[in-house]
Amino acid sequence: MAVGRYSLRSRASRWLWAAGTVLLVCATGFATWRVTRSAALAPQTQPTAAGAAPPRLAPGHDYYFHVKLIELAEKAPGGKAWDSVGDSGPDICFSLTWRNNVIWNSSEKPNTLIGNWDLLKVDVRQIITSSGQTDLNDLVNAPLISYVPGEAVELKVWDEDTVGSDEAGKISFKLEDLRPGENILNPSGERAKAIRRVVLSLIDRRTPVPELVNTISNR
Amino acid sequence: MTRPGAGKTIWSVRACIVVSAVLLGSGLAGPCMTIEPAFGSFDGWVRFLKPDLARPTHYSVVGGIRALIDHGHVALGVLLLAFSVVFPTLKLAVMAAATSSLAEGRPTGPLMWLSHHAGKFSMLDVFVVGLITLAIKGLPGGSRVTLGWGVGAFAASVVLSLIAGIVIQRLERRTVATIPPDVADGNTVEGLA
Repeated sequence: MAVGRYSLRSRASRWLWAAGTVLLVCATGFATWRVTRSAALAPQTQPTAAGAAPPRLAPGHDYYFHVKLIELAEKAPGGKAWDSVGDSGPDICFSLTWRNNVIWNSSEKPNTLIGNWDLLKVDVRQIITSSGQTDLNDLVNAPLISYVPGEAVELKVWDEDTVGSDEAGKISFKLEDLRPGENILNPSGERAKAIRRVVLSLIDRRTPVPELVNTISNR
Repeated sequence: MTRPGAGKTIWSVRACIVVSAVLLGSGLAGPCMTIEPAFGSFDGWVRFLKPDLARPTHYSVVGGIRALIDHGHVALGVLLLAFSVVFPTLKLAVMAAATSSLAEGRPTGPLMWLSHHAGKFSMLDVFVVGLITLAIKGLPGGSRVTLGWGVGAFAASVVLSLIAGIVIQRLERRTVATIPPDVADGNTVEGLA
């Protein structure tokens, strides 16, 4: 009987040690998995302060000043039709002036009241002629400005015609009124004339490439 | 009945096994390697146009095995699972049970002998990681593999388990040989079992 009791106890002890070791491996593995998983998710789940003030442009930083969209009124300034010959819409073009220099001339968006410009512009011919290499910055379809409080960028919009062009309006954007990211503006006033809506995007030049791609895909 | 001082050695071996189990668990689930893809002169383009492709991938031993099985390499996945997860865990369990037998002055049995001699196979996945590292280093485009702390923890666990196995075998040789057959069945050493 004593031998049987000892044998049972010894067997139980062996099983206990064996099972305990297996459990220890599993528990440590599970705990490690939880810790590494939560560490990996941490940057995505950082709480944002509720009611926090919107971010402002940082002085001294360089920003891409991207005009995403311009909407014009149905009639040209003065109440006349955009196209004096037919009934087609305006061929929208714009330029940006900063520190008394024209820093950007847009491509033309023909026969539309809403012109839309993507942030990414791939000039295949230029890439081919430069032996297939290009700088990522060359693909960004926007000029760079440096933010200094008190400065402004002037937007001039016109309807491009073969014979002359009709000015659609001008807007001066005070940089301190703008925010990083998308800015939707509904200008009013005498100088704005036929400009009804402007969507601007200000992107910090130091934006990491994946975020820049996200911004580009967010049209 | 064991030699004087054997109790202390058995507890040291048990501590070794516990540490080895903790290292094994964390080594299996912890980051084992990170693959950072690169695309040579097209690197900028790929990062710009397809950033998902350029993102680094992190693998643990278990995650790597799962990925292998998911991608259709079932045989390789099962082989690695057997030698990297199941075998080292069972080996530690057998060794832990063996310490219990030794504390009672019993022989550890054939399983312990088998696990000790098959111990060298549990380094198989470290070898595989080494091979992958070498293979990817040889790829064009500049892709890189960096090893995570999981590999270190796993390797340390394997080394500790080998040490524990050697000590258990020596203890068995020294102690069990001195025990009379009638005692071997039931006697225990106080405070060890």
